[in-house]
Amino acid sequence: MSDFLSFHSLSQILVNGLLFGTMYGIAAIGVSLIFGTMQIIFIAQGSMIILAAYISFWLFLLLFVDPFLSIFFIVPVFMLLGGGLYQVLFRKVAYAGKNPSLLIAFGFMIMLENLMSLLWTPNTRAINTSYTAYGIEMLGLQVSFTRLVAFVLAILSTVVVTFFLKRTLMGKAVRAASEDLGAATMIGIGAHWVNSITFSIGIGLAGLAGVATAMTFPFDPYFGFIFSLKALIAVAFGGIGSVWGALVGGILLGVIESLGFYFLSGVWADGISYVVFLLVLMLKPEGLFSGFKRIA
Amino acid sequence: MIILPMVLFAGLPFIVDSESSYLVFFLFLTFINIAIVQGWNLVGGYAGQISLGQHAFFGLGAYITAITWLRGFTGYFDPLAMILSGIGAAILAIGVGIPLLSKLRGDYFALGTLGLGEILRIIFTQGGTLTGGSVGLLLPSRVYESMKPYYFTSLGLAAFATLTIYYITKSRIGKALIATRDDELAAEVSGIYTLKYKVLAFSVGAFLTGLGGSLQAYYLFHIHPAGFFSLKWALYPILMSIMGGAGTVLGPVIGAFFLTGVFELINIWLPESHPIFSGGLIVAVMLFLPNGLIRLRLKRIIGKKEERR
Amino acid sequence: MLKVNSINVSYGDAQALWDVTFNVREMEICSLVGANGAGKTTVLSTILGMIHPFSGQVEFLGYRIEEKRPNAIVDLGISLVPEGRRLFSKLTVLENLELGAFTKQARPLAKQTMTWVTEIFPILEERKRQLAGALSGGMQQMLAIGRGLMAKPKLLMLDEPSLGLAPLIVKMLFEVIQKLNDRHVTILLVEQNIHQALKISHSAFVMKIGKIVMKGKGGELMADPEIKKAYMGVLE
Repeated sequence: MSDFLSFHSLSQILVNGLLFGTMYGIAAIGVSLIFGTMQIIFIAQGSMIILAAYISFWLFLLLFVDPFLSIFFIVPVFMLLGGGLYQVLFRKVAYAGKNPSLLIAFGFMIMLENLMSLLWTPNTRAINTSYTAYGIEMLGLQVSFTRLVAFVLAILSTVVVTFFLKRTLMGKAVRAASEDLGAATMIGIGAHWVNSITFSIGIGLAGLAGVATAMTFPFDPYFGFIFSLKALIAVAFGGIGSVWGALVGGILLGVIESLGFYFLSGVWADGISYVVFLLVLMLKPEGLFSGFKRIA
Repeated sequence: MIILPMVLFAGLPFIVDSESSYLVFFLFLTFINIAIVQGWNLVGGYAGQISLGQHAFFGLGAYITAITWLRGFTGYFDPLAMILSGIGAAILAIGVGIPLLSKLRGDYFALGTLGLGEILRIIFTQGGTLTGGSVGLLLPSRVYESMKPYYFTSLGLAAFATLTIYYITKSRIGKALIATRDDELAAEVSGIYTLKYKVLAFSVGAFLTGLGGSLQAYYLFHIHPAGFFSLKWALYPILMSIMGGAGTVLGPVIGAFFLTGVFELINIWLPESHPIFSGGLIVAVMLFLPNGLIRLRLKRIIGKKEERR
Repeated sequence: MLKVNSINVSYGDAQALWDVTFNVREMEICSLVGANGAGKTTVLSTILGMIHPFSGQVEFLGYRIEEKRPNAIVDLGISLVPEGRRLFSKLTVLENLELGAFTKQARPLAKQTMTWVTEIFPILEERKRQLAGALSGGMQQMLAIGRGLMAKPKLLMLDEPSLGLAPLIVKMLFEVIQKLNDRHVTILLVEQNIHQALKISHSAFVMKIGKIVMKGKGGELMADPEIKKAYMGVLE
């Protein structure tokens, strides 16, 4: 399996992991925001991502919409969807303890994946555009074009979300509500309003991640669950409520997986992530980076 | 009130033909579900820790039974195999439970158990000749003689599980669990070593679930990762407990009867939409009936006003 | 301006207020005093809409508000400076103030209000980029009051503002409250520091275990032998 490991191949592995991991990162930001503000573990995030991937796929296949363009449709739609989901599923139980919302998210996930499977068959799908197999050479390494784009999108969305949280009044309200909901309510910030906004951002990010997924690798309806788990692992690494932490956590996970794939056979590599996840949960649940000062 | 149904259940196979009776089959399924459900009820309903990974114990129990039989350590319907399955599951629960439950946040536990289920599934898929890989293990089905031992074992299992829950809840352990569930910090401060009780509930729940898996293994004669580590074994106990009334002794029993019935009906009419329905059902139950059916009845009888949130 | 009429409030099965009735007139400083646990904070929470009474009414400027939510009530012109300040410690002084003007009617005027507030509390302008959690107790109280003022309230409610503050700061605090009142802010003050509270109040109500047991003008009550006897330990 591993013979002499050159610097070149190591860098290649790391870069692949980095690029792949940013997708986990986008998923993780949504989960982290939602959990940080309203203590809801939205375990259906991965399935929402796959939903977006399907929509992007069908738009491409049936209407010839380029996936990049579909972002402009999917993200706003998903943001609206996010607000709606909050109102329908979580508004009632948002402050009823952690268990009801986790179970609702769980049930919703099962419903969604099986619905997608029923509607669109369990076969794997992937978008194949003219540039899908396109590779660029950077610094002597082979870099997949679509994955590079996904990386750029991830960084962009993290910047946008951070900007929102730090500079807009709404974003500050979200931060305030996640620190002290009672005080926020007392000064007139409606809790459910803030939650809807946060949820809509989270799901909007899922939409973005979905398009990136559809462009980058094959997917099937049940992949969402694994995606959610990976997102949670990324959040565990990065610490809850931290936007950059979620992204970095995702990248770290991508790198670990990439290394795992290289040194061990495929399926065991998957297992490695879960094992690391469990270890982190057991030993350092505040996140691996919690020692550093967090901005937002 | 309990004796009568028990007598009826016990007598049933002598009245109807147990081989062809659908009722016997249905009850068999329900009884296994009761055992698994009570397992979750103990850790989720009483101790307040949501486990999303009961399927780990179910599958583990099934595999232990299958492997020990194939390797010749145990035989068909061997109580030793079942006990080993249960104990194996319990040991796993203790091993994973101690670090996971020692943090005061319930979400970490829930997520950890979910990860556990997945890890186990991967392990057993990769296990080579020991576990049969993704195809799984085939047990000698020619030893099957009649439905009766299955029925009675499952009845015994369901009764055992329910009685266990009953006695635990009546004991000091039960009080400690409920205190932990309602306000863990307060319980700790009052001198209750919550970790001990949480792990105890988790491992007893795992034991019961492992027994269920073992029986299922004996019934199906074919153990494979996809079927035995399927998320449905994680989902059903939660759904049935909550729907029937988590944190009560009989609630989960009601939930098991009700939902096994509903699922069987759905299976007959719309087999593909089965999981969609269960998922939707969980959502609906949590939104509209979070206290379970049993409390609905009690409230009407006692005439208390429903608490408004 | 504010009429509280016979409200009865429970937390679940535990009743906290019994038939509480009192009024606050425009432009006055009204105090609600009493020992710990008397229910004073519950009264404020109820007025703000955080809890709803199971019987009784609350009327503000002619509107019935006992069933309304906090954001509607803050919008109408009632602002609460909570017990213990409850600042957003991870946000800056400036951000805390900005959020104070979150409601619909306050937001467009935020800039002007901010100028007004920093006039009253110049030190907040100085420290505006500091994290709220890094301030001293006295400054936090000022920030909390400032945040409350950002909502442009007609009625400002203060819950135990002197709690945990040094005597010199407390003196300054009550001067500020007086100054605010001079600038036409009606004040409802909840305090354990009865002496200081009664000194500046126009009217006062005494609470004991969820009920109002005494009422009168600030000065009168100060001289009242009952009060002196019961709360002597608290008098400076």
